[in-house]
Amino acid sequence: MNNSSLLNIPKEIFHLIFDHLDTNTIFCSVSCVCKQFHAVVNSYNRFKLKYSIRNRKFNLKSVIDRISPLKIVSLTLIVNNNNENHITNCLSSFNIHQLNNLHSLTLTNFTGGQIETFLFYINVIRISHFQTFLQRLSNVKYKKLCVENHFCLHEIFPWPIQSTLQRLRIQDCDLNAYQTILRNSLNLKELEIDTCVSQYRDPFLFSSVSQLIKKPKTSIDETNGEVYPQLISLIINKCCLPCKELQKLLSLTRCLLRLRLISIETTVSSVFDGSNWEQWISNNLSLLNKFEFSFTYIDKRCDDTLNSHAFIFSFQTRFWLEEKHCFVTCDFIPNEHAVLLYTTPVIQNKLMKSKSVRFRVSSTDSSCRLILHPESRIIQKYNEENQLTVNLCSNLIGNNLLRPIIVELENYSMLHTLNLSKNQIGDVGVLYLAEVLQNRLRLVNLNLSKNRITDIGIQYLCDSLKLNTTITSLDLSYNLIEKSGAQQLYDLYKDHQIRVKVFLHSNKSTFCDTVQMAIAIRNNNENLFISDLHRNIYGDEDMKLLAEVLQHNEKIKRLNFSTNKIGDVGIKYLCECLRTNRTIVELDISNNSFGNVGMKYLSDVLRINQTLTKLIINHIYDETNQINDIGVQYLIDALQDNTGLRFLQFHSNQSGYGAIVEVIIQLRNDKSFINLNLSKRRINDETIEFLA
Amino acid sequence: MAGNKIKLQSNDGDTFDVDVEIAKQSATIKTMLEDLGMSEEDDVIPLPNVNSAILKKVIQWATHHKDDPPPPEDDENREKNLSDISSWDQDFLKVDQGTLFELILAANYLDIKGLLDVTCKTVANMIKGRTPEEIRRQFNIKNDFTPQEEEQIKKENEWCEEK
Repeated sequence: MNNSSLLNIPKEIFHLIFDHLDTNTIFCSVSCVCKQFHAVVNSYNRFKLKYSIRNRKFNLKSVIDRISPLKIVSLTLIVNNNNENHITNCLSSFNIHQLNNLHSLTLTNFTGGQIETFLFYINVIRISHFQTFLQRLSNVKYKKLCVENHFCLHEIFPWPIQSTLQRLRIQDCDLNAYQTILRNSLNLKELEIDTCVSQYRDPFLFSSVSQLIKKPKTSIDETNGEVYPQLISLIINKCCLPCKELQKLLSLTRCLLRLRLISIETTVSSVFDGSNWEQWISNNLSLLNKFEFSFTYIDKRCDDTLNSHAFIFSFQTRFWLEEKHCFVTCDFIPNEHAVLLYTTPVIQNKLMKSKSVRFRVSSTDSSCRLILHPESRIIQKYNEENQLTVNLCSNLIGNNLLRPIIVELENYSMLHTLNLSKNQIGDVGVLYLAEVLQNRLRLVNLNLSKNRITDIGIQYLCDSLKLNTTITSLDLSYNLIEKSGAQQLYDLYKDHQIRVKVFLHSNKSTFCDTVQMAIAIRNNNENLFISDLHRNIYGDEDMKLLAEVLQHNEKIKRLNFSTNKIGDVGIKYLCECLRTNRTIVELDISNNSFGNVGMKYLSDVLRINQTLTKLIINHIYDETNQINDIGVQYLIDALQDNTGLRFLQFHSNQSGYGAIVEVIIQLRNDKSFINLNLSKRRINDETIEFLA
Repeated sequence: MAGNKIKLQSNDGDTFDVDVEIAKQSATIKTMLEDLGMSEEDDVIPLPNVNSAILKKVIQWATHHKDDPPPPEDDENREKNLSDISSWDQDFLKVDQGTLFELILAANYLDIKGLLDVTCKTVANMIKGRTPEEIRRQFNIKNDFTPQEEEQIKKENEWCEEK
C-alpha cells in the first residue's frame, strides 16, 4: 500500500493542507501543477488574503474579485508606506460587505488617521457604524479583529461596542484601557496585547503610549470589584507591569483558561517566584489550565554565584508538575548577563536564539547542564584529525559553572584545546579541573589565563599534572600566582618527560616570569629572542634558576641580560654556567648591579671559557656597588689567558679612562682584538700617550 | 480507570494493546467506546481502514503526545500554531511520501486532530515556496495541461504574481 500518491488524497484533506499555505502559493504554484489540483483549488473556500497597500496594477477589489469574495475568510491589510493616496486608491473601490464569510480582519502598520480613513472608506463612520460593521461580522461564526503597530485604539473607539467581538489583538494597553475594553466587550474571549504598560510608568520612557497614561482614570486600588468572566485567553507579549499591578489586572478575569506572559525584569522580583504564583493562581485563577511564560532577568551583576536552582526549586511542586503540567526551565547566559525562566515548549524570543554559552536547569532535571548552540563557534575543529578546540573565553565562569562544563566536555573524546581564559574559576575551579586532568580529560592545550588563580590553585594543578603526559601548553598568565607557586611549577617541569610551554607572565610575583623563561630555556626553545631576558626584573635568585637551565641549553647563542638587577651573586651563578656552556657566544650584562666581586667571577671564567666572543659591560652603576680600577685589573689579567674574546664594550663605568685604555691596549697587543670602539670616550692627551 | 487497555485491530489482522487514554486521542475510537460502552478488556476494536505499519506509527505518535493539552476547539487557532512543528514530530515524520499520505488518511479516519494537523503542515511545507514544476517533481505528478491551457491559467493568476 506504500504507493499512495498525493493524488489519492481526498479533496477535504487538500483543503486542510491549503489552510497552511498563503494565497499566492495556492494560485501560482498549486493550481498550475495539474488539472486535478486546479479543480481542488477552485473548490477551496478558506482563503486568507494578505494585501500590501502600495501602487499596484491590481487593486484590492480586483484581487478579491479574482478569488471570489465569498471564498475569503481572512483579510490582512498591510501599510507599506505612508502615501495616503495609495490607501485612498486601495480602499475607495473596495466594499467589505461583499466579504460575507470574512471572520478575521487584520490591519497592520496602520496609524490612527489611517484607521479612520479605512473606516470611512469601508462605509462606516466612526463609532456607531463601526459597531454595525462588527455586527455584520458577527453573522459568521468567528470574529477576530487585529490591529497591529497601532496604539491607543481605545482612544479612537471609546468602546461602546456591545459587539459580538470575540478575539482582539491590540498593541499597547494599560490596566485602564484593559478594563475599558473588557467592560464593553461582553463576548470577548481572547485578547492579545503586544505591550502592557504600567499606569505609573514614566511617560517619557514610553512615549508611544504617553497619551494613555497621562490621566489614569482609575487607580490600581479602585477596580470596583469588577470581574469579567467572558475572557478565557489572555496573551501579553511584552509585560511591563510590576508584579502587584499584573496580578491586579489578572484578577479581573478569574475565568482565564489560558495565560501567556512575557516580561523582562531588571530585578529578581516575585514574578520569578513559583510559590508566589502557585498561591496566587490557586486563589484567583482556579480554572487556569495553560500557563505559559517567559521571564527574563537582565543585569550586569549576574554572575557565577547566581543560583539557577533557587528559581527552579519553587516550580518543582506537585502543583506545577502534576496539576498544571507546567514544566519550567531556567537558562543562565553569562555573556548576555541574562537569566531566562520559561515554560516549555519554548516561547521564542531574541535571547532564546542567542548563540552564547548557556547553563540550563529545569524543573524535571535539576542538574545544571552546559548548552552549546549548534551554530556557535565555541567548539571548532583544531586540525584535520578531527581534534576539537573549545573556546569558553570571557563567560563569567566561576567554580559553580565549571562543573557542568567539565561534565559536558568529558563527552568529547577528541578534545585538544580548552580555553577558559578571562573567567573566574579561581582555586576551587582549578581543583575541579585537576580532578579530571589526570585521566578523564586528555587535553593538549589548556588556557587558564586571567582566572584569579593563586598558589593554592597551582598546588592542585601541579599534583594533577605530575602524571599528565598529554598537556604541552599551559597558560597561567595574568593570575595571582606568587613565588612559591612559580617555584612549584618550575620543580614540576624541571625534570618533566614532556616539554611543556608554560606562560606565567603578569602574575603577582616577577619570579613567575623567570620561571616561564627558565622552562622555555630548558625546552631548548629556538624561538627565544635575546631581548627576552632584557626585562628589568631579574635579580640574583632569578639568575640562579636561569643559569641552572642555561647550563644544559645547547641552542641559545646570544644572551642579553642588560638592564636587570643582577648583583655579584647573580654573576657568580652566571659564571658557573659559562664554565661548562660552549654555545653562548655573545653576552650583554650592561646596566646591572654587580661590582668588583662580580668582575672577579667574570674574569675567572674568561680564563676557562674560550667560546665567548662578544662581551658588553656598560653602565654598571649602583649606589652601593661599583666597578673601579680593581675590577678592571681582574679583567685585564684574565684576558691574558683568553683568546676567544674579540669584541668588548666597557664604558660609562666608575673606573678611570686610563683603565679603559689599558684594557684596549692589552687587547690590541693580543692582536686578536679587531674592533676598537672609541666612541663616547673623551680622549685626552693623557690617553693618547697611553695609546702610543 | 487509569491504566486500562483496549485492543486495536488493523486491517491485516494484527492486534495492538493500547492504553485507553492514549487511544481516546482518536475521536473515532472515543466515540466508539462511549457509544458501544466497550470497556471489557477482551473487546477488540477493528480498524478496517488502517494497516499494521501505519497503526503502529499512529500509536507511537499518540503515546508521545498523550500528555498534550487538548487541541483548541475552533479552526481559527490552527493558523496560529502552524509556524512550528516540534522536533520530535519532525523526526517522526521523516518517512517516505507513501507513508506520510497514509498517515494523513489514517489520522483523518481516526479523527486525531493533532496528527492530522501536523501531517498536513508537513505536506504544506513541502509545497511552500516551490514552482509548479518543482511540486510535480516532488510528488511525481504528470503535467496534463496543454500549452494553451497552461498559458490561460498563467494569465488568470497574473494578479498574484505581482510581488
